[in-house]
Amino acid sequence: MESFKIVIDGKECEAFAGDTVLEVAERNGIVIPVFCYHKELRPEGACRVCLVEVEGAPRLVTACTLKAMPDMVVKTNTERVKRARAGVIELILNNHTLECPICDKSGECELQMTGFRNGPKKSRYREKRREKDIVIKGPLIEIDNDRCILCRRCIRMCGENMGNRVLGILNRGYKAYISPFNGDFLEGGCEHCGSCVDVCPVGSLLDRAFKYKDRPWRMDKTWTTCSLCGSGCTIEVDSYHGKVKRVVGRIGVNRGHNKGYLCVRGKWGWDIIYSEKRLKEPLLRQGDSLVKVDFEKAVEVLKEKLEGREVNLFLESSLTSEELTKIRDVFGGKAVSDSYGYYKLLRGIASITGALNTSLFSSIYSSDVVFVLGDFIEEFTPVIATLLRLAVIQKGKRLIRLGTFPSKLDSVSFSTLLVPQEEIIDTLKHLIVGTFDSSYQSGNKEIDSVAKSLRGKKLSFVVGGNVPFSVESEEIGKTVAFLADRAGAPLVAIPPKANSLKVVELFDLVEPSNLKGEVNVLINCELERDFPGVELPSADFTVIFTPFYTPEVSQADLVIPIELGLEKRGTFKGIEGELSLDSVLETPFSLLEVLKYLPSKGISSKEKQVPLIKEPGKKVLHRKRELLLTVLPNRTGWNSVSYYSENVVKVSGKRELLLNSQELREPKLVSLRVENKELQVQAVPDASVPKGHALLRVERFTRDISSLLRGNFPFLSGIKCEILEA
Amino acid sequence: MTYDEFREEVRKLKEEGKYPSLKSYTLPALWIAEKNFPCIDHEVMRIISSELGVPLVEVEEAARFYAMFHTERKGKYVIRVCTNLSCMLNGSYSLLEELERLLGVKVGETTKDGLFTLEEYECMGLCDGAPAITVNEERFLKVKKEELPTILKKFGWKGD
Repeated sequence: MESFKIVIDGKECEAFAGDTVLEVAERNGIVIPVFCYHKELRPEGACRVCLVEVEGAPRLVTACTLKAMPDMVVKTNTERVKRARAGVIELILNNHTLECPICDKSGECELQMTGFRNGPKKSRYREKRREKDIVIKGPLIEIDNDRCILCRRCIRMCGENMGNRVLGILNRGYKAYISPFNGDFLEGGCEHCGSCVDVCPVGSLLDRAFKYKDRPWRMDKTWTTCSLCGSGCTIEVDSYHGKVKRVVGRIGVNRGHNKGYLCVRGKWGWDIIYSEKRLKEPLLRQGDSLVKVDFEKAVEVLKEKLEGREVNLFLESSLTSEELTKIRDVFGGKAVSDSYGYYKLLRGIASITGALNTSLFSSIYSSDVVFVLGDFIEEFTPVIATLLRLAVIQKGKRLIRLGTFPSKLDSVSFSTLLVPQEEIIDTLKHLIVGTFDSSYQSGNKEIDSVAKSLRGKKLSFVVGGNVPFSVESEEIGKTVAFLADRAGAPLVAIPPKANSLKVVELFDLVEPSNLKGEVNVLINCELERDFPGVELPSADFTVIFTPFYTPEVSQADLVIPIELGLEKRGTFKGIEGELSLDSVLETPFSLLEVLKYLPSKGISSKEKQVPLIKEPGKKVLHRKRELLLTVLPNRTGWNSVSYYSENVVKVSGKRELLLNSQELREPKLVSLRVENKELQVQAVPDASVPKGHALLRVERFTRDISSLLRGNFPFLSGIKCEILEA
Repeated sequence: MTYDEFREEVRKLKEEGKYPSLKSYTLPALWIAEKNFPCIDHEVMRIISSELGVPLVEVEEAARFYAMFHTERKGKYVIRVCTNLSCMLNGSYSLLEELERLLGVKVGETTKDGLFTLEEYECMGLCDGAPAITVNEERFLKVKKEELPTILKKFGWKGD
């Protein structure tokens, strides 16, 4: 792009077409105070605190909306500008309550900072301060309207960037205030991503879990990686004296690929480390009961029981790479893992590309068209869905999505292909031919028009959401990789868990029925959640390494507590390369500490080889009259966050079966039947569920869900089922 | 009007196909509600939101922004007294005081029998007939203080 020169405060600065004066100034280290402007938001020009003087212009102009033009001469600190700025701040401060001593934002408040730097020395205003006295209390977010300066940052963030439009301005003029519909966050459809709290320049939008808990200036700030899903978000953990007080994303400051955007789990799920269900001491079976033992005794028993035995290793995928390496060293490389479905997807992809790996997520930014395959990306990895949305509205990418269920992403996508689940592979095959052959007619206009919009463009592919859990995951992997390979495009496979990629790299993942060891070892698992439909194999001895009292603790012979993601140092292998974890918290127990006492098996690492086939996958789903069931954990329930977190449980969803409104007229209790297993569940008609599909939303994988899915591990989607009258 | 009838009305409105986007029907739908309900309550907003596919809060924003829409219970007749420049110079404040006295309510309040709501209003474009008042959609121009009881009686005012 061609650049030109503009002069700001006598300094010659380089500018590009489309840049605003504020952006150019920021790049060159010239500070212009702002309120309504935010790096991640569309400029608004409402607060007028960024006024600057431009040579030749009669009036002062707002730097945030002023486009830089060649040979422009801008002055940001003349007497005139300073007076105008102080005047604007004086007007804002007139009706701003003087609550700094009790306000949580104090210390990192933009109004406080700008007021001190650029504000007037004293106010000329003698009238009574306006008191709106409207406080809106949501389950996790609180809006104190007396502090609000009506910059509309939260509304733009919620409506445009997150695509929810929960917050709005009610009333008008002097009485205007910020509120969700009817003062109710949940009815308005709030997802509790916390972005509005993050961008609020004053203390108006508050994190209720943090309210009155601590002061921003005295907390330890640690940048780490969230371990609650595969997005791998960089987060700032604020703690005081070794106790976590809050988690913030810092939108616009955060250097991670998530740019500071978080979801309800990342923002409010930190309190799982203080859960009442947290395990604090090792437990050992004596007769029928488990008794508390000390650490030395636990290690001694562990060493004795494991010596020379073969283990059945059950592995959850939110462990750090360092822990996984050590686990393989100690227990061997054969494991059952919740990343098994993801492994199948990667294996499919590797049969085309030759590598069990995924492209970096940032590779989508250098393409023109992003092809997204998968449903419920916003439930499994909410931040990835946000980033895809932002790629469209901020970077102008075209988004094309292929899936079965409607998604929030469809509101920004260029086109959306919704086909029944059993036709996904056929549709992809039509696209493979259609994208490279303009004369090809698939017989379906929509597919042809999508193929046309893929033709000759710089493409990138994103596969995620429930695809790793689909019955066809491996075949879908092959087919989409075949398409990406022919187009020479990067393919990003979003992992469902934080370190799924490393698990796939290090371990030979096997079916649970292939485990023939004598000792069960479960690490960080929750059997029903991570291995729905799997029974613990019978063994002489069962060891569980877990941070919580999980239901299977009662089946264990030895239970050893371990730490959680926020308490760890180490790395993850995520979709943006190596992500690092850091922590200032201290825990009495550490997994690596325990594993140190166990002898090494000395397994040499070898690169996994997947035979190259270079053929698209084959359709495996055929059905006659059955419905196809998808079991979907709610956003709050993924990784059991809502079960352990007191914050997240306040906004958790419920268990219900969604059916097409033509197949079910009114809500009623039905019996869901998979093979010969049945589950009684409340069914609700929902127009967004396509015909022939059933969507079972669950908050938590419990025993009954697990027994319904018996024999289907690792699949949660594309399972044949029937609906019977209860 | 019941909520179901209102939903039908909004559907009919949509079928007219006057505007390219559904969001544009928000104000016409709110007008139907304003004329047929004592106030535009949250249930009405929910119906509009679900029929038009507009976020709930956007409907509430529109209903709360415009002074013509009542989100709190109003009387059968809304008396609007213009107090902008022309009307004010021609004595609209004295009309307002007189109405307050006659009806026994303050500006913005509704009489106990639920018949009248008294409102101070911005310019209604009736400056040629200042001071002007409107009762629902009927207008009265060059109103004198003494005429007020007659006007009120027309709408069933019981006083004298």
